[in-house]
Amino acid sequence: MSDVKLELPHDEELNRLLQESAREAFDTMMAGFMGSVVRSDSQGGECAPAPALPAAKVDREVVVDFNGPSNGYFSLRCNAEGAMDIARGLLMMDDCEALKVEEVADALGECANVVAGLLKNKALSPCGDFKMGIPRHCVPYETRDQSGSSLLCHLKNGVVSMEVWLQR
Amino acid sequence: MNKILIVDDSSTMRMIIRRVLRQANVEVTTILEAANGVEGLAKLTSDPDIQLIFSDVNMPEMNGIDMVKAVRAQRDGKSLPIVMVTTEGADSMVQKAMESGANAYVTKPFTPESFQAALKPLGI
Repeated sequence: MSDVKLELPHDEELNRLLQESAREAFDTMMAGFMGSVVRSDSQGGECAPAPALPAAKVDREVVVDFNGPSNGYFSLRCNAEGAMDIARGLLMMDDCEALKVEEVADALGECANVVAGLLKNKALSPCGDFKMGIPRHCVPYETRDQSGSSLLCHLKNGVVSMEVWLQR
Repeated sequence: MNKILIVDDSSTMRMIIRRVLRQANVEVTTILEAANGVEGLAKLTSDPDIQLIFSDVNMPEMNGIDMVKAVRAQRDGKSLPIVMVTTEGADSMVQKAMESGANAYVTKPFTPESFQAALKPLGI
């Protein structure tokens, strides 16, 4: 029996698909609200490949695991302002409206869920039958020290880092 | 439409679906919510006049596919329209959902237009 090598997207392609997924999620879920969410003067556009946010700048992290022919994860990390930007964008709330802690957490989880789902559909499903976990909130960088493809999104007031790592 | 049920473990997504229904001009008198399949089935038992269900697939306790199967196994649940709303866009998952008894499938993220298009075959 011959070994069948799994043809996962290479790092550069994975980063492109991550960027595409993030942009599609933001554009669709925050349509009409985007202008006030994403800063137009950010370097390299709205979301650009960049090293993951350093631990000192991360207040929240949500992880979605991938399991299948290969294992891996998608991670969304942000500072407090970035978390509020995402929650306000998804819930279409103004800056003056108050948000509960659990509303912010749920919005981050859903944002991670949608971006991870898009990424799975674009990058993983063509390679095999991958399963996606339920978003889980964790202490930033607590269990993960692998370095994968990552990008940085500058939002209205904060910053969000997204990362994908696959076992190769 | 009098009464619908939205089943999703994310309160954000339940709110987004409510908003999109308004934007799509789907008039609903009462919207019930549940955070997983077990809660969804309980709501259906206590409110048998629910006319439409929107359900996520990946949820804790009981996933959306198992909930659809359970609804279809009930005598009164055979003709109840069920729309899956999920990030799972793989063809195999769509097929699994439809085989389990779902009537329509919407992939997240969606626009009011794509949501409306998915509901059209159901006459909504």
